Amino acid sequence: MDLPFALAFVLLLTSCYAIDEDFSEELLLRPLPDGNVLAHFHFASTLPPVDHYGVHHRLFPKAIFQLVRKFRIKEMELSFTQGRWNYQRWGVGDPIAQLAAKPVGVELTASLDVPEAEVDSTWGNLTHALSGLFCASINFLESPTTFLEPWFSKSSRTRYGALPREAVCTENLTPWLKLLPCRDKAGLTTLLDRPTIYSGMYHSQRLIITSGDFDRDEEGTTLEQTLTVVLRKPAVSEGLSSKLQDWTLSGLFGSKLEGKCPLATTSSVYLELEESLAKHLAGDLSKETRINFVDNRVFSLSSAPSRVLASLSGSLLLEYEAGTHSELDLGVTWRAPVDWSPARGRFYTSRYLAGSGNARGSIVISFRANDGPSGDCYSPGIEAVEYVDIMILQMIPWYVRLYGHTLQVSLDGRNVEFWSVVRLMRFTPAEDRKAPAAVEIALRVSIATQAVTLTIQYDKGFLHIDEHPPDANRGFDLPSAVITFPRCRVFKQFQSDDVGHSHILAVVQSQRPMQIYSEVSLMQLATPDFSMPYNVITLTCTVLALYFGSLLNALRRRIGEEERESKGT
Amino acid sequence: MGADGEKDRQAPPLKGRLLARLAVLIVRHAALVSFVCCVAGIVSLMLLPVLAKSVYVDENALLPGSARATFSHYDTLKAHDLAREIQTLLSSSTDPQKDFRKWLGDRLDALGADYYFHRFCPPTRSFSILGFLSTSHTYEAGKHCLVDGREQTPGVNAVGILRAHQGDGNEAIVLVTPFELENLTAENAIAMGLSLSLLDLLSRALWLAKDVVWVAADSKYEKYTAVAAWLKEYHEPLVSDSSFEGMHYTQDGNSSRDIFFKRAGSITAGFVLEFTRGAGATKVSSLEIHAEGSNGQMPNMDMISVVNLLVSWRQQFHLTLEGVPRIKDWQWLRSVGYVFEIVGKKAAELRKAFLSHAKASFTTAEDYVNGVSVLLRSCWNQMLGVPTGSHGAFRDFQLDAVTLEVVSTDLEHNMDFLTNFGRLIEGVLRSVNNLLEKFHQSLFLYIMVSPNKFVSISTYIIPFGLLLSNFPIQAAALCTSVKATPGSWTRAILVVILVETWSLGNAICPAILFHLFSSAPTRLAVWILLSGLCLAPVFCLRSDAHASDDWYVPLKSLTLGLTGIALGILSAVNFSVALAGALLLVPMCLSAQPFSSSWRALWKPKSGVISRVNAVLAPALTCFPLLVVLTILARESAGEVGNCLITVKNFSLPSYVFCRSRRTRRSSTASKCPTSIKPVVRSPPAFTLAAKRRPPPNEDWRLGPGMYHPRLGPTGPAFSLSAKGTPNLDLEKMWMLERSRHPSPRGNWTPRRFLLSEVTPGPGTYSLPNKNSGPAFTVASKRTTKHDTDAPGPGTYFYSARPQSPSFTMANRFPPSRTCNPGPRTVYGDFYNTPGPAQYNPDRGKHIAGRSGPAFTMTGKWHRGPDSGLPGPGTYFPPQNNTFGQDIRCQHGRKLRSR
Repeated sequence: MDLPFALAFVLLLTSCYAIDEDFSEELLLRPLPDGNVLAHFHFASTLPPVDHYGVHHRLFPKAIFQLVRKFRIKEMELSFTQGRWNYQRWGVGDPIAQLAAKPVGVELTASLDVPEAEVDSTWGNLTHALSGLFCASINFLESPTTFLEPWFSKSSRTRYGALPREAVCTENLTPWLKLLPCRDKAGLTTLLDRPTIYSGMYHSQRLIITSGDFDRDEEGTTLEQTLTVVLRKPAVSEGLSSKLQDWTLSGLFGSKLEGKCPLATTSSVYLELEESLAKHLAGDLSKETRINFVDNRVFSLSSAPSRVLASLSGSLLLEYEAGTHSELDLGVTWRAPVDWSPARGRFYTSRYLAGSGNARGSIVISFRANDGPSGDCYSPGIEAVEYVDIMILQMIPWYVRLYGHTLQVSLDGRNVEFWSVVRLMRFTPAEDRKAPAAVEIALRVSIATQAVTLTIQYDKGFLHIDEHPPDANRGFDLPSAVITFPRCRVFKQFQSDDVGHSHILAVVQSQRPMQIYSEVSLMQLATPDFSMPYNVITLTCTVLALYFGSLLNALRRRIGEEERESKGT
Repeated sequence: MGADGEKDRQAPPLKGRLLARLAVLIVRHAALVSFVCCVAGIVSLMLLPVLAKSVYVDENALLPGSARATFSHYDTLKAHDLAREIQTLLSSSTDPQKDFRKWLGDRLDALGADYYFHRFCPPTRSFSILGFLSTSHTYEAGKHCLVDGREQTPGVNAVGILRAHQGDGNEAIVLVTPFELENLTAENAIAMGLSLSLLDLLSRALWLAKDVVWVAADSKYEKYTAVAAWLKEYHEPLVSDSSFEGMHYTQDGNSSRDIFFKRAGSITAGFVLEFTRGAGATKVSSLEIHAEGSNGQMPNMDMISVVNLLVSWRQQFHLTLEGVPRIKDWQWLRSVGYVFEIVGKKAAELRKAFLSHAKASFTTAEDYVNGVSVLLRSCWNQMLGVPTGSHGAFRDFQLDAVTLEVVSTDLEHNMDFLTNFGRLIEGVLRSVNNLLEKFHQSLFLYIMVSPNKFVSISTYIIPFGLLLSNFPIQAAALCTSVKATPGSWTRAILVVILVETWSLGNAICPAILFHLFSSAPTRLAVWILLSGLCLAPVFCLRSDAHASDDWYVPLKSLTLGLTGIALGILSAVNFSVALAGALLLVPMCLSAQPFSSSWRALWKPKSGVISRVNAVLAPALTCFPLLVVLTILARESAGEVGNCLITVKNFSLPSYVFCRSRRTRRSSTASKCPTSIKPVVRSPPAFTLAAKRRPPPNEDWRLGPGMYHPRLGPTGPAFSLSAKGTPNLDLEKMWMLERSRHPSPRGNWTPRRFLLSEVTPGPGTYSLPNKNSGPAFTVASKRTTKHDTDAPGPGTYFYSARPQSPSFTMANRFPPSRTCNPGPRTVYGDFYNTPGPAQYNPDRGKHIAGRSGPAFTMTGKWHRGPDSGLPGPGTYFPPQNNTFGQDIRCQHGRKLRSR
């Protein structure tokens, strides 16, 4: 092949397929009320509709494209999380918290565009593929005892599974970074200093894939990669009246932000000020342009934002273009001790195991009303004024034997008739070694309710000796309950509609129901002493031998005969 | 027993199989055998302190002392400041309750901890015998509590939960500090200050993987009640109406909904910190461990061994266990101790003579007396079944907990002691934090003899077994000695069943009748009345067949058998009770005979000496338990009378023993003494019937895998030649960094952080040296000096540390050699005989030829050895002599190897 022809071919290729591929990188920083800093990295790659399989892409990772094509993934969300999202201190009802808060370990939700009968097998294959791609034990989700089909989901081809025990580390981050066109060589990813992000208080990396209809190919595929870290506040100085600490990008991540990823169309950094903090800046937020952000009475910023976005509820987003600054070292220096509270949901939710011992117990999910502001929860409809809807999805492993009749609801400390509160319920009993139990409940309670408690009792089952994980004495993790408030929409509406190509702003603006995850609980089962089988076998054999020996002796012995014989001799 | 002897002589010669013959032999010489068993049992019981083993940490994941504690004088100062703050706050405040809660809430909030206040009422005390028939306690609190018929304010526990950064919140460690607000002593204030200071330290700790729950237990009613109430709410929450209103208390006393009961995963371990003022003028501060829970349950022994290890390693404490002080004045015991000491010395010498490696250790008389004192106290506590502190509340929920009680006279001025105590707690918490699993590895059935010695079940079951064996032997002997008259056995069985049923009914009746009487004194009276009636039917069953002297023998035989079985079962539930029962019942049961017959035997001119002695001893021994009861009643404080009665009553008739064993197994509530402050708590007991792992044969418990004990302080011969800031080489930090660079050896389920510094270099990270940290070379002197520790260096590998493990070596095993403080990467074993790489020394090879295995050197380096006259490879000798010509020609093309 001669050179001009090859060049022409390459030009043709790039002109045909690469024009609409798009990549954007964004970082949102938010000072948290307890002095820590939330950093939310958001990378998005979009791929226009293509009609080829195995085509070359300029920006979009081929591995993901092949996954999408092969398993016909309509939607998929995969998250790796370490640490707990502190709902009370870091917020519940805002879009970023919604995106950031994930259960400990690995969580995978996938909606597959395959015939019903093939969904489970495709899911199995998908878990294996992801397992290889991200160096994680996602393949454990292949076992039918670990995933379920949520009833409340949009389609019946959705599967949900969680591995609360999966540990997350750099080995999962590296393949995740490889999907980015600039890897961690340029742009925002240069901030991802591994020791820093892994010594933070919370770390959650996600992969969200959405693709259009496979048969029509109109929408293309979008890959969103987000990484949320909550970084510990810098060293505490003694005797400070406020918990707040000054921070800069270089102080947090160890390096300044130098330039942007050359392949990214958008590369911006946002500093978000929550409404309760923004209120300290000025009484009237409609005049946000008047506020001197660089130097005001509450804090001073190291550099001036290029744009300020104000939401209708009052929170502020200061935007910085990463490309325009040769070196961006965003930082906040606090001037006055301010105290603000994060957006908290209506309820403080917790799930725990009651009871002690290895025989039985009960699972309790409790909601206690917060008396603070109930957060950015937009509830359409008139009913929402009087009622709160709560949906609970709880997957329970088969070795926890639930007693359905013990399911009880109490409101404000009083047991109430079950169906007076529960609107819908699906209770799928577990099958031993085949399927987990699934409890899905939709509750509707009055808005004045102060406490809702759901309890269900269980017996603990016995596992075969080979079914125990390597550290069985640690206990067995019960996956988080997924709690959704379907009528409570979480989003932020900006005063100016111009959000540009920003994906992060698009996410913030989109209306989603509020969703929170409960804690992961540890359940102790009756664990055999693994060093004991030998002793048990010997003891049992001895007892059996003694028993049968003496029994046979007593049954078969003829004493009279013996006496006669002894006399005879 | 003279009659037995006569029968022996008339008996036919032994025949049949070995086992049967043996049984017949034992039964025939029952008197002798049971005498030997009794003596051996008593002797081995006395020997228990001598046979005690050293405590060891069984769970290697605990890694006690693997990191240096960071609790410093600064933190102690802070603790003092906080204590002073509390005291001034309380003295100046008009509403101490409210102000204190507000202060505590602010403090905890500043630490980033979740906090709440838990309100509880003491349970109403009801006297009952059988726990499983009464309902369990409730600690529900309304606005007021009804205590002894009077309205009182409820107790309020303050609870702070420190959430571990990056932890998944599955597990928690509980720290309990009892305090009494109305009557706050200086020690109490310091305990609070120290706990808060410790929490402050933990809130900054990077290594924390489990949540830390701190419970400031309001010991207004009782320490135990406060902790039990909190644990009860933690594990068995009430969702009833009244609890919802009253359970939760806020800082300003109003019922704000914001601060409600929160939880933190499953509890791994609990530590109760108590500070008390020592009696007398002794200036020595000491640390006491209390571990006995309700019904004689003990926490996992690793809890005690970790504390003991950290204490003994740093050598800064005087660790003690509670003993019976009076025993130390007993001269006869001391002389017994001397006897054991002499025998032990001789045995050690003998052992040393035959086994060169054996350690010559023996128990001195002083140790022996102390051991007996601690052992007795421990047994006594287990027998009473009353927990020795608020840690007992944890055991009721099958959680492991110990109380660490600091006894000191001037804590205010004893700065070092407090710092060391803080370091100890930090070390223990860190150790438990390392644990990946629940405590399951070590023993649950043991008795402590001293802080570093224990007797495990495999040892202490021997004397009990010897004592218990009397029952079946005597029963069998009696069984064979009597000529079965028709109806005598039926009658015996009927009597036993009748007595058992009567006793059982008598035991259950009060529990039912108690529902009719509400006041405690009435209940006690009813109980005593019914118990007294218990003996009535026995007297009614007068023997009408006075035909023969041994009419009572079938009855005695049957009772002996039953008693033996009952005691055996009881030993699995509460060993101490069973042992005490055996000690009481063995003489009593064996010598029991009708008074009339013994009276007759005494005056019968024909009867032998044994019969006469027996006749005198029998009534005495039968009355013995009664005397014991009276003695105990006289000696013990009123608080424990009820328990003693219960305990002793269990021995008064075998049937009661049987009832007791049922009760302890099934009960879920306590028997309460009306006068007692301490509840007798009964809980589902947990047993480990399995034999536990033996300690490693090596006495030095520090040599577990992964253990590392750097010798801190100036003893390490380390010199720093650079401009480094620290004068001492921080061995530990080096090791930690070393660890952090390597993959965690403990699986990847929950990565625990080993980092000491916040910043660990990632791959490819390069940091320019700042001016302080020039190239730092550490020159350590060769460790030739002898130190008194065997602590191995990092990366040390022992050839022979664990001979039982499968080890594959291509060389001979070498006997272990002792070196001290080796450098890093030292290879133990025959350290000078092992060839290094590229080393070849034929001279040495000669010396060790007998011992060394085949050594392979895969290198071309060659040292000229002494001329042995052997040709080397490639040597060519031109033929000197024609006689060799033929040979050389034959070997054409090959190298000459030998002559």
